[in-house]
Amino acid sequence: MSDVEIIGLSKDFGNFVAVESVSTVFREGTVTVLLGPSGCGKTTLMRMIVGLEKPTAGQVLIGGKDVTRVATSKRRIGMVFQYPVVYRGTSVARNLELPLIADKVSKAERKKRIDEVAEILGITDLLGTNVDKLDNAGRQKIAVAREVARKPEVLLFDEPITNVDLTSKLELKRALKSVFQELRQTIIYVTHDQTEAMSLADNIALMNEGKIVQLASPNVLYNEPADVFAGWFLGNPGMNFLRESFVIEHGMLRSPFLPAPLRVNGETSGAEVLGIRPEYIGASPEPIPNSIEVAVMSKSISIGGQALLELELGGQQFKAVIDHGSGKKMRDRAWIKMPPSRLFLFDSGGQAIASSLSDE
Amino acid sequence: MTQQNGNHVLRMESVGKAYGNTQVLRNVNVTVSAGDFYVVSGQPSSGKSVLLRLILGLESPDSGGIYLRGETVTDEGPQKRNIGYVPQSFALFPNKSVRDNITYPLRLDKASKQVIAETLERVTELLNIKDLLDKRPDQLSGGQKQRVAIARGLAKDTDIFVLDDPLVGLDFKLREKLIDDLKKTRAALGVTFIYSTSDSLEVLLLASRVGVLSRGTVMEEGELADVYDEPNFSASMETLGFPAVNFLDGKMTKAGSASIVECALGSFPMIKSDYEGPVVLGIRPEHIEIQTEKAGQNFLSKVLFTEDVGGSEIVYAESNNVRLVLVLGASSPLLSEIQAGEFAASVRPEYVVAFDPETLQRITHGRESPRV
Repeated sequence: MSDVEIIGLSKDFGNFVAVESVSTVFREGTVTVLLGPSGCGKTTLMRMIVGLEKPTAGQVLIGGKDVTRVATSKRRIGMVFQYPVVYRGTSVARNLELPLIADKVSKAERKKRIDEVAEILGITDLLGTNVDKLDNAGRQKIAVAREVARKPEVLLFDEPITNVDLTSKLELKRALKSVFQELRQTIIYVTHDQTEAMSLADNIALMNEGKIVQLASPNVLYNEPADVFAGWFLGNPGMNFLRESFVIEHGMLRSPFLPAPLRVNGETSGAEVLGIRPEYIGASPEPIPNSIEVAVMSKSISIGGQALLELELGGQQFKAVIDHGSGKKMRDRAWIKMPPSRLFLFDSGGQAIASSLSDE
Repeated sequence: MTQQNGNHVLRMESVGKAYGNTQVLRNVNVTVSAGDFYVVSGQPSSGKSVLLRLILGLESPDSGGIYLRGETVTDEGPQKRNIGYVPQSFALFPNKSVRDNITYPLRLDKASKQVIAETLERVTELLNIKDLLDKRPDQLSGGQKQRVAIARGLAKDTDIFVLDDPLVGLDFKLREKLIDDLKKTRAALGVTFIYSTSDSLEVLLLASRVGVLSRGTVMEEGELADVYDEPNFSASMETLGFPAVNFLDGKMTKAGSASIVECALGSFPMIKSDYEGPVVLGIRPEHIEIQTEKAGQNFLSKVLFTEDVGGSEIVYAESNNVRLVLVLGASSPLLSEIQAGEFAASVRPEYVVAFDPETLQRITHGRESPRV
């Protein structure tokens, strides 16, 4: 297992820049998820690491060795695709063993590896079964097991759960999680699904418009977004952004959204956008002390029965997520509170500003 | 539950529809009022599209009546009904610009130049696609194509629109944006939307009123919050629940002034019912509470997997060989309780709803327990 390092990696398709000078390191023994909307460049980036796509510029290093011009088959990379690749008409055990024979792994070692991965994935009982008898999710598990057993330098997963039916998705996610945790292989995993990323990743490389916006643990990415895109993309629904909603003078921030001025600790210049996640806005159906009165435009039900409110103040709409009971009592006015520690400042270009807010 | 007749823009009464020997819909009753965002919620292939096609006049019912804006339209074709339509699988003309794609139905209707220009301005503004007007479909992303298709369906001078699962297959975050835009669009146009989906979260986020389609009929309809809190059928609880509602087998017996249900999680006192026998118990994920101490009514659960959905944590667990789904706030202090892999949990009896396994109808629910 090895670090994967990419240096200034770019890919153009005619006038379209799919990946723009990306440099980063995917650490040995960790799971990095390339997350982003369709068209963000995550698949192209992965295909360049595998060698299925030739970079316009830049280098790919695996274990410190430049493999930019090395053929895919020589890169010692394992891949799991959207659709399961299995050897039809043979048993599960044979599916796992064939690549190991090709890799000249000894018989004893083959058995050891197959038994180990089958145990972790919960497919020991299936080893004698013909793969043709398995459903899509079952076959995908076999595809995962086969690549994992080969112990390549790096394992790449390209949306492996996307084409599995809803009921099997969870089971497959569980299986992947156990493999990732037990074997600690170097894994790069591509998805557009934030839940999958948050649940499986050690680190998420969030991509937008051909660039990595932020590479951080799920927790840091969620709680300390590097820009407005990261704040919006993670979260359900994403972060609220209030524009032209405050002034900063003498280190104090004043806003119609806040009952009292807040102290800005750190950088103050360039701040133009105030961000807060919907679940951190407190909203009461009755007046409460130190709150701001806002209009309730609509309400709906969200995850776990929570109430999702669409609120409005001074022409700006924003969302708040509150408990079911309070949501039911909500009429056309709400009294809101925004905890200073949950507020973020961004500049006009959407980049986070290194500062925090606190009560005076 | 039923509202006054006055402002019903659509009513379906005892509508039935069969294809050959297959009875797709039977005894369907639907009432939609002006300004509703009415969502027909049902599993895939439950008959949602057929129901919408009957409303549009693309199919005629075998029995029953359909009334639109106070007039009988049961045997009228789509022209007379004047309903806007966003179909599920949209086909944009590949060789036409976005502008021509959107205005095509208006030109077909021989609308005046002024009406066409005004409508185009309005729908492209609402759906945020003004800067795409000169592009061709192959220059658009999947989300943009969907927006253009929705805009084309909405580019009609009328008061009722039917949208057949228009967001199916879209990325999660794209859907989040379009859900907002659809709600705002309906409100801005002041029109009625009749919308179908099989996605629970979409129903919850969009609907003002909901009709639950199951077993070929609309089992229940009402205001979203009312059906959510007091589902009369297990199908309603199932379709209006994210994450998925827990359904457990149980057995109900009479015991003095109450009824009791026994299930894998223990026994619960229920409000008295004459029913005795097997029941299906519905328990919402948010009503399974993690306990820090192991008390008498608690049951032990093993954590199978947890999922961070952004702001909430979904916990998949197993208790006495029954799969359970729980949901916690992402910053809940109780999250530490599940780290160990095993935790104690409880359910307040009032949150346990008993349904008849044959009819799916609600029988009773648990008795309120004192709050500590």
